[in-house]
Amino acid sequence: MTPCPDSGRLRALLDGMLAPAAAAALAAHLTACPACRARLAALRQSADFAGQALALLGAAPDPATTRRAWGRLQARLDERPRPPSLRERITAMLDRFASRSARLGLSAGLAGLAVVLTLALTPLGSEAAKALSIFRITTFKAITFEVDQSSLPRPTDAQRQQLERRRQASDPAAVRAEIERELAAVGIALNTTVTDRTVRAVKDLAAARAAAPAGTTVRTITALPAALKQGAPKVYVADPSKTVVTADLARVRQALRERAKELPKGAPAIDPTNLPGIDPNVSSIAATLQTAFSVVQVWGEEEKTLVFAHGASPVLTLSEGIDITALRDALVASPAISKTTRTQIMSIRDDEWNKTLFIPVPAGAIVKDVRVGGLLGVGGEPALLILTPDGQAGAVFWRTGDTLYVVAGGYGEDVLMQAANSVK
Amino acid sequence: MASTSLAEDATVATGGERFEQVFARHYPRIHRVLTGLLGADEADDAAQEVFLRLYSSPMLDKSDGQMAAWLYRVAVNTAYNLLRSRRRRAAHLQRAGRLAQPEAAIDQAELNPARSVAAAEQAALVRAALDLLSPTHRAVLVLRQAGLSYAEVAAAAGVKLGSVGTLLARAEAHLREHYLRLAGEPAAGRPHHHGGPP
Repeated sequence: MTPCPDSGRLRALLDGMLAPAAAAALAAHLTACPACRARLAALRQSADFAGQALALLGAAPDPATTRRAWGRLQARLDERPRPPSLRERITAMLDRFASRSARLGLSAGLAGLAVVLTLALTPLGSEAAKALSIFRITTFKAITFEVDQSSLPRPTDAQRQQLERRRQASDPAAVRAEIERELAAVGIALNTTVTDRTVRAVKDLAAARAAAPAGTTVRTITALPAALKQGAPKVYVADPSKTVVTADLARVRQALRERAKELPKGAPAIDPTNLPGIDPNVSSIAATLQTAFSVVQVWGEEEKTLVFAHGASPVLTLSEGIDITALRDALVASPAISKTTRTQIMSIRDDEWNKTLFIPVPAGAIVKDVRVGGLLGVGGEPALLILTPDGQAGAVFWRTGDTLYVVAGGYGEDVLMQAANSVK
Repeated sequence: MASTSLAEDATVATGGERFEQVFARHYPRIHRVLTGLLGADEADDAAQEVFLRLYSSPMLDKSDGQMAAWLYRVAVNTAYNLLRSRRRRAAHLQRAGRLAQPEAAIDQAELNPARSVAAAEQAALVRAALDLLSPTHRAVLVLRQAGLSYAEVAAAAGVKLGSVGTLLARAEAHLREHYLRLAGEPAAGRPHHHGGPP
């Protein structure tokens, strides 16, 4: 006689959900096994009971009810604001986003993910940090972010000092170890190959090419302002890295409960039993960030700096149990997010959300849809040009195939675009 | 978009027409699933949310199968979020406690929910028993009862296909146990009351 089937198979047999051969084998077993026949009878009894019980909750809506629901839905759709155009989205501002308190609040909201992203960049030289932010997310498309600082908890003096100390720390490894200890205390394990050698200065472009993995093309720009032509660029390379953050949700919830008391008054509290975007049935979640080889070249000094960075897009992988759409919904529900920003974020299609990089733009910034690499404005790749209100500094972002590019610096549109168009 | 008519057939259509057809075809079942997960009070609003999400989602351009799978998954997630954020669980446990009082006057001799006890009281008991199930059990049970295949149930509830049968069997057994307990029939003792098959 074949081994006794588990209840799931017996239940599937009742529903006719087994393949014919499997059903036949099971039927043969049942004729020979009184115990399984009894189990099957019990399952049928419960199933019949459940069927009758649920029928008591009421039938599905009839056509008239459905039509009324359609009318209500139409009314709600008509009330919705039109999603703003890309241009409109970009020109709304994000100056306050850059403030430390805003960052702190968002980091809290995004929990471990923000930590991963921060750590991935921690060892980076300050002058290239801005340009490298492009590599944090799969692909990019700019939108704006307005954050109401007054709705965010103000960091305590101790938190401010700690952030400042970490920002200026000369030993990234020590800072990382410190952060790892803090995270471990709240149930978050961090496993990363990022070290202070992941992003490093190399001698010149030839050294960067030597460091590149096979099949990776290292590019540079040839159209430079006259003042920058004499000096060779400082060159940094970032090796591929992998960072895995695993959260033990029971401990995270416990830690949130313990820390709820410490939050400043009026701070948006996170309900430990209702973590945004997290399936209540999973006990742990993991986020894996893999970054690819990338190169940053920096010409000039101080304000007259030109940065060119490129590399394959990093990939952030979330474990089952994380609903990125629900996470987005929870994020935009925060009172700190302005109505404008909420509308913009919600207008991003669900299947683009996980590919979208938010590019913060300063107050009054000028944003243009341009093309890079075409001839006389024809062809090429769609690109996003962002300029400061005085037009004296800005950045161009674009993508070709799997590679993300950015040219940024203290120059106007002409210089930036010429540089972008001269990538070789 | 102010039309209040409903397309009756599912011929090829685009944009608003397709949305209207999809609504006509799926709203009743989505509503039923949400009623099972949340209760009739909240199912109306939750169903509206699900279709608002669909309206601004690219799924409208996908095949019927993909879109239906997405709809049920969103329905389940919407219900989960509501369940969590409104702490319904605690409220229902309280209600279940009240219902379990002797003065609930449930006829204990006949536990067949289709007979004997006033239908409203039975429905309240079923609701309370359902709310005692884990979210996953509840979702699997309700989705299956709405007529989804095991594969569709697995996709919507976010569980493995191979575990649907087991989850369903457990959910049904638990529902029956909770119902019997809430109806005042102890699992053991009170031998003069027989909790026979429905």
